[in-house]
Amino acid sequence: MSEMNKQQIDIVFNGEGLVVEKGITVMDLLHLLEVVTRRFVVVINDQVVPKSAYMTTQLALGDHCDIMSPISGG
Amino acid sequence: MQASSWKVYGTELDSRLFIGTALYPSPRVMMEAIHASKSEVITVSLRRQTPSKSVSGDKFWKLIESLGCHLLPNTAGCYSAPEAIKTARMARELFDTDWIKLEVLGDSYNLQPDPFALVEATKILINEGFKVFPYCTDDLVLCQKLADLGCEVLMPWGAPIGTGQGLINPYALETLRKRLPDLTLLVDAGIGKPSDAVQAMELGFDGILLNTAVAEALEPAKMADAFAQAINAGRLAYEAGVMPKRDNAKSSTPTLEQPIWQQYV
Repeated sequence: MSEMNKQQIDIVFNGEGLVVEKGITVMDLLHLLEVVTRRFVVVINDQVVPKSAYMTTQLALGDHCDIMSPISGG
Repeated sequence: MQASSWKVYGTELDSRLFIGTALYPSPRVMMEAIHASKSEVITVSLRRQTPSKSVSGDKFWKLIESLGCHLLPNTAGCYSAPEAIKTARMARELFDTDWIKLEVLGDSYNLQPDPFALVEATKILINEGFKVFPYCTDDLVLCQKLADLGCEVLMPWGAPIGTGQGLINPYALETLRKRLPDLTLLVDAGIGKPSDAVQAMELGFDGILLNTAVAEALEPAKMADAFAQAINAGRLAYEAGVMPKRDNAKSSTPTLEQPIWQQYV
């Protein structure tokens, strides 16, 4: 593994593999993915991340991160 | 005349129709139908969506937000208590409400609720402060257990979801109404036509939750209006007091002053 690769980690984002910078926060990830929706919730390893923790919550190797959005329902 | 207002977990409502937001041919038709229904509570759901696709999710959200209705998120598609609990927690954060329509399915063929998992999930969610609206079968013992856990509202099915079969077991529903007089009861699922809704309301049910019957009508807005009127009529009839059935005919025209041979024929 190169020096550069050591600074990166693999996570699973919305069911698909994604390579991100080590130490990336939820807020960084949202900016990176250009998430522009007004209404969503971030879930890491089945735990809801409060909006107040986006700046401080860091993703770790192998984390499963999902963004959940409103859809129609009966 | 408008039927009396009612309370759901402390929230006062005028409309007794909860309406779903799925299956409409277009967002415009959905909005027209919801307006026509005069519903104050609409059901919504949540799914994992990639950011590139979430623009549509945001459009949906803007429409829903513009309605100003109370939101009732569901846990549709969950087949276990942990899965439903997890979805409920996400829904609370996403929609900023403690209300949750708790669906835990036990059979993928008729989408029948799993009563055991439903009780398990209800217990945990109520302890976490959720206001649980369980989608359940019409089993009296199950409903009593859910009430004992703290559910103020129960939503037994009329028939399996999306079948439009109407009330397949009116006896069971009537039994629930009689045995659980203080509980708020809505028929959820299986309603096909306005007369099904009238029947449930005349039995004393407090409200109706439906989606497919309106969304799949040829003219959803017109059907939503029909349901709104039917539900109001059914409730008015219940409040007015339906006459008892008799075995023998009884003349409605006064017999006073008739010749004696006509009075005793």
